[in-house]
Amino acid sequence: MDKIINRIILPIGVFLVLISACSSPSHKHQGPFSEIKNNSNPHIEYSISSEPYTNDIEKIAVTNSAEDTLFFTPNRVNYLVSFPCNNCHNQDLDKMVSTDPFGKNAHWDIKLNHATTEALTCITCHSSNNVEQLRLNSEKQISYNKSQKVCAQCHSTQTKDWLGGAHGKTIGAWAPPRVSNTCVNCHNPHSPSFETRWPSRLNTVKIKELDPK
Amino acid sequence: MKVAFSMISDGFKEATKGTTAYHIWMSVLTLLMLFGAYSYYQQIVHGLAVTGMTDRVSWGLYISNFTFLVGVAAAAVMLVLPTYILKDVDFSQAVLIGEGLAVSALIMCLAFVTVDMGGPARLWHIIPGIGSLNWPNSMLAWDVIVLNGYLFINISIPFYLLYHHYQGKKPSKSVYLPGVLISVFWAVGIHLVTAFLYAGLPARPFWNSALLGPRFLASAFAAGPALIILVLAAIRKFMSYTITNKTIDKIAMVVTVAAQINLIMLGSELFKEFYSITHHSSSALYMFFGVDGKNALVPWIWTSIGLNLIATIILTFNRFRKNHSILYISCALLFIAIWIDKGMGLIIPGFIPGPWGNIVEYFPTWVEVGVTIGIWALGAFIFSILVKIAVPIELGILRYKK
Amino acid sequence: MFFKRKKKGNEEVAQQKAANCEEGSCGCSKPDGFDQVIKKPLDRRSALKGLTAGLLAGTGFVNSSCSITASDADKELSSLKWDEYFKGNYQLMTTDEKRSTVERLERMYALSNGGKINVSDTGAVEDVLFGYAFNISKCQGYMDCVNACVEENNQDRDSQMQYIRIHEFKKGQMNFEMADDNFYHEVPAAGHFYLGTQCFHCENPPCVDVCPVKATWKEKDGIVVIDYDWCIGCRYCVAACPYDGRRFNWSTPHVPENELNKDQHYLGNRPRTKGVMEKCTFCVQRTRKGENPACVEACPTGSRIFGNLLDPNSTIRWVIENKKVFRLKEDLGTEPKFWYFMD
Repeated sequence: MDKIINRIILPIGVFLVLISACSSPSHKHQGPFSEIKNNSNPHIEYSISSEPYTNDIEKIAVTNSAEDTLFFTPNRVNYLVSFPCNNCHNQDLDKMVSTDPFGKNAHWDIKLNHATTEALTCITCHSSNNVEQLRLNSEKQISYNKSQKVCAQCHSTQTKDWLGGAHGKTIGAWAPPRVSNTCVNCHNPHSPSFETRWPSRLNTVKIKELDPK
Repeated sequence: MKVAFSMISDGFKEATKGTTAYHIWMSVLTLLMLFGAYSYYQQIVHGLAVTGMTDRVSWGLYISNFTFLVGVAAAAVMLVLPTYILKDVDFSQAVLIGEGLAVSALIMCLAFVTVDMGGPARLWHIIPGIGSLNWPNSMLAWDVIVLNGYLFINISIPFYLLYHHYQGKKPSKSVYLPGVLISVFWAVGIHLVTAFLYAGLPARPFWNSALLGPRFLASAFAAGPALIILVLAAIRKFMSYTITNKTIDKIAMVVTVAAQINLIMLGSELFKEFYSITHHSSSALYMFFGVDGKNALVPWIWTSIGLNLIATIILTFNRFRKNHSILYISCALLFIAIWIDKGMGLIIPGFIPGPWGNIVEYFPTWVEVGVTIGIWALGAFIFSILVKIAVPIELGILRYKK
Repeated sequence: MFFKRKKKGNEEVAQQKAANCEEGSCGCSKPDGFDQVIKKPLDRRSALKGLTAGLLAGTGFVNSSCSITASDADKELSSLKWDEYFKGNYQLMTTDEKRSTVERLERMYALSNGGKINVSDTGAVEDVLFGYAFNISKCQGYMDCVNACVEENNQDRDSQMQYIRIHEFKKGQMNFEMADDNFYHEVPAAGHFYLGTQCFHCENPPCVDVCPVKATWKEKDGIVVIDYDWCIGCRYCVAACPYDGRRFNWSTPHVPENELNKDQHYLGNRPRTKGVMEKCTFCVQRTRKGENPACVEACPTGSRIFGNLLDPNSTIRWVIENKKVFRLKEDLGTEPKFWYFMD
């Protein structure tokens, strides 16, 4: 009887040990953070680049205070509808005010819906004496290609996120060099918020799944 | 091997002759198998889309039956252990029947798994060496090995015994006893491995419990021997093989104790699910009470629990258990109850709600039901043939003639 | 052949019965008739059940290959199919074998459809581990990503298979059971926010552990991929994935010819058959060439961020290091490479 019990208990024990040993491989519980810690490489020599996917975009460099290029944004000036402004704005603004009560105001289709009129009017961002450039609060003038500097004056949080990559959209490729949309590529600066719209698709299969009858 | 060939051809002749009742039984099974084959053909041609399974509930009737039948196959050990190791002679008449049942149940298991595959033509990928078997990480790889190993043991040992009895010789203990000993542990192993298949998935909290393995064993040792009792009763009635009341009573005792343990485990699970209701209890809530008007499984599970309770209570009382008519009915009720509980009541709720909380119900289609019936008929068919051959050999009627 | 019953020994009678009945020529009396019914179906059935698919495949090959009436194109196609059936697991193949299989696939497409596809076998780029971030303040529920993904990855149109799910939550909690991923109204709906899920390409993927044939694995650049020709369709990985990342082809997938994306990768968007798994591959056919995945490219709000986790200058690294990020079901230990954050 003892021999039989030994013959029963020992094999069961061996069996259980084998199962547990074989089912606990050591590769578990390593996450991406340990991968990053061990294999992060600040000087990667990429064999791939974003070039093939962004070569149709004229790139404007975004620089930091030390003039290092951080990344690129698309050229904006080339896509402005009424650029160059000097085609019409060949005299001072106050001389261009229309006296005809029923006449169309230029830029009549631009509705300003950005903060309040206490905070923003047209000439907050547009330079009144040089309409071909934008205006910063320090009265400094900058190109339309660097319009994000205007937005950054108030929206510093979003700007920080944008510089890092958390806000806005990188276009074309993940591989460097990075090309990202600038603020006005997505937000209409005169009316920056977005309307609601319909989703791109209706999941009819999901409807069938949830209600098969 | 002249003897082996003669045994197979004698067996063939034995299996194909019999009473009208036997032939009607086999014909009905054949018809059901043909129906199953036709249903499976539909599935092969159109893909698994003809079943009721979806990306949310991706295992259904087939895997439910597979899980249940692995338990039935494992239960043969309940006869093997007493006969060979504890040397209880009362079980020795039933042991070959039990092993035959294990073989049939295992073939049914393998059939259910095969029909559930999306690509059965690629099943050779699972063969180590030719394909790439993911052992030891995948519990399914373990299951493939242990199920096929168990099938091999349960075919080879009885074949060895019958082979010797067929020649009127005595089989050698040193050959079959080690195999028998291994098969006892292996039987526990197959059902634990199948339980671990489910219990090892943290993605499915309904299954991810330490109690699943022991619960599987308890319900297997209740349902399997219950079926063995019913089969022995049929053999007693239709064949001249003697099975004493003592044998049946002892097996009934096994069924009773296992059923009681199963109920205790059920109670433990119900407590854990419903005492503090967390989102991990959603599957149990869906199964027992329905969620948001979706309650397809509710009548099934309450029927199962009801039948289980009735059968277990009846079996607990000696005077009911000794009354064989009541015993047979209780065994049938218990078998059905555990089939529901371990099949539909385990696999389907594991997938509901889905990983993101959606409740998508599952309704098997006629194709699935047809294939399932066909495979059960196949199991009954194989088992009938095995019994039809083994019993005359054991009775000394079928003997090798030079 | 007329069968005469003789009063010989049992054995001889039985043997004669068996012999005559096997020839199928019994003018037999009733019991033998039953024997006929039982024996014949048994043989046919065991052949069917055991070898159905294999036999059909084999017969098909042999039929086309050896037939003298089949065209050269048909013969070449069946020879290619034969080679494809018996090839091994992609992750165990040598570079040459990988090249051969993609060339076979391209040729098979040309023979069956007459068009040209490019199936790439590009390996993982050095020093790259892909990561993904999702901004739940920015997502408005537009589902442009879902459309782009379906078109890019040649997913089945009949069953409207989508790797990406967008969930609409009521503000105030993040209970997925209360979220709706089947909304159809103007978005964003007031008082709601949106969150997208797809395969998260875990560093510790449960689907890889459970696949019995190693048909799914994690590549060196972190993408969890599937060899569609090796998958046997057991769907254990679906049970194991806590994130609803995997999809199964319950029927033969169909993509209209004019919508087929012909730039394909062996592990990515090449055409699949019925009975195999598929899932998001971070657009392996695009990202290994440096391009953004289709969902990242399509999102108009910029809520999807993708890049190389091993590059300290990448946007994804900046997001993880500077924003308050979380992942879903982190307590399961799967270590997904898909983070969520808010503005």
